[in-house]
Amino acid sequence: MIMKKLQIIIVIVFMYAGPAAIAQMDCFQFVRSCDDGRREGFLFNGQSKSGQFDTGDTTEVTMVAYKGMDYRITACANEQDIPGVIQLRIIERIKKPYWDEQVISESEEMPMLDEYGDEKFDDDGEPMLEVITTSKTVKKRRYKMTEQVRYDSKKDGGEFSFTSQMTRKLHIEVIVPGTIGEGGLAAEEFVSSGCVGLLIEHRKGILNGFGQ
Amino acid sequence: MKQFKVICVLSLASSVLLSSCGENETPIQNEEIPAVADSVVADEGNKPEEQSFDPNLSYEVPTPSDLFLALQNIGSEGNFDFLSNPSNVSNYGDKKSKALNFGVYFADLSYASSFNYGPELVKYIKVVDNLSSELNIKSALDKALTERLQEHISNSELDSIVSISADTYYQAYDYLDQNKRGGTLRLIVAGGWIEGLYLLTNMVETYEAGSPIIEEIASQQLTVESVMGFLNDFADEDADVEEIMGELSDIEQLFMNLEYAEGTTESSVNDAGLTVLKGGDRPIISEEQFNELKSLVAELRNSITG
Repeated sequence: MIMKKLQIIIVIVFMYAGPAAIAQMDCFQFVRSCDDGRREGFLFNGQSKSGQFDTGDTTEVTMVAYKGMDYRITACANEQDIPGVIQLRIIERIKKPYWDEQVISESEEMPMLDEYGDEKFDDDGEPMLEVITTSKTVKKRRYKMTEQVRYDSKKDGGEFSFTSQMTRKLHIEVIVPGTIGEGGLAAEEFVSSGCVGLLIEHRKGILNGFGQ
Repeated sequence: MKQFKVICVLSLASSVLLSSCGENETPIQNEEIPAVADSVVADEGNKPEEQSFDPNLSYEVPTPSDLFLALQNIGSEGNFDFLSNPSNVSNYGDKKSKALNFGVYFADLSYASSFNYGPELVKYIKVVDNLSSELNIKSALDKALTERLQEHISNSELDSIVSISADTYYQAYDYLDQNKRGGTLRLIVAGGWIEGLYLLTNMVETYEAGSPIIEEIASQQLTVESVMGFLNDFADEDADVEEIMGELSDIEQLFMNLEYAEGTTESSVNDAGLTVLKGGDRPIISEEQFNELKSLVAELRNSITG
């Protein structure tokens, strides 16, 4: 009886509170609420993201930073749902190409030839055979991936403003703070969801030096 | 108990609503990955290995205006002869060609505004406006945007025009993303990327190794992977997306075969307090590869614009 009442309450709570709660979780353009760098001349960049996360989540986003442009990367969250500071790690992964060469040997029985190029025969008149081994090289293009952490907000501070001397791809790891329980897992009873914005801004940089 | 059940229902609903959010695995260090298409010298029977995309990674494609702004910043000049003709808009009847050409015209609008095409810009605003109605995304766009754009054109305020057109693109992008119209969104992004590359390759009259624009063309190797990763999310659900991925595969393969100039990665801080990212490996495109790329891109782009 108590269980049945509880189930009815759950359905009613979901019918009335559910859609409202989901609407609140709609993170459409949440990133627009992050503190921007307009005063320093930065403009909103279309590679910015908004999304909903649980405390303790980590996600990864790629961005392309063009040569000679200045960029500012920050993150913000709905503080009521996600207490603490969002950690950002900016990583550059570099693909280094190399040729992977393999030598493949193949053996085949071929008729033996005399000095004039004619087939040789044994005493029974049967053609004489010899094993010829040939080898060929198979060349494959492969890439080795290495990575370098360019910025870690935990060590380097709250926002990352940079300029790049060449066009490069960066991987941004967004780490939402969470309560860590036993075994390194987020303690379930403290998990909450909220909106997180990853704000990427750009402005024209000043190019100096040779070859710019 | 009640609280737990409600949380479960909400979590399920929100995970459906926001499928792009996801947890990520620990980054892989020094992973050896196969090339998209292996270059085989001796063994003809060897098939290229498949490209795999990380499902936990969100592939973001820079907008065409990002590229053109960077080109303008390195002193490049626009060449308006290669923009798509606005009067062709009536030729696009199906969803695929409308979406692809919306991306094409948006890239043209960004290009024309970045390099100051003057009054001709109005034609591109009108054509983008037109296609946004046909693709049912006009309601998402700020009605005042086109008026504001036209006003800034009259006053020749280029920076504002570039900024407003980039905002318009982002509004369309976000609207489609939020409304689960991922297929249309992907076709628009593909059209914009192809047009951007087409205009970029046509800014080069004579190949000059090491010139800033040739370096930028080689650097598009960094965006091709993001474009393919972004398209791949919807390839199973939308045959048009799968088709355009197939059509892009020769361009992708060419980019993946580029050689690299090795450089040591360094960082420093400049007078303005900005971190300066230096060095790193840079893709290099040869004259032969450039000519092949230019031809492949022109062929694909012209098949889209008709």
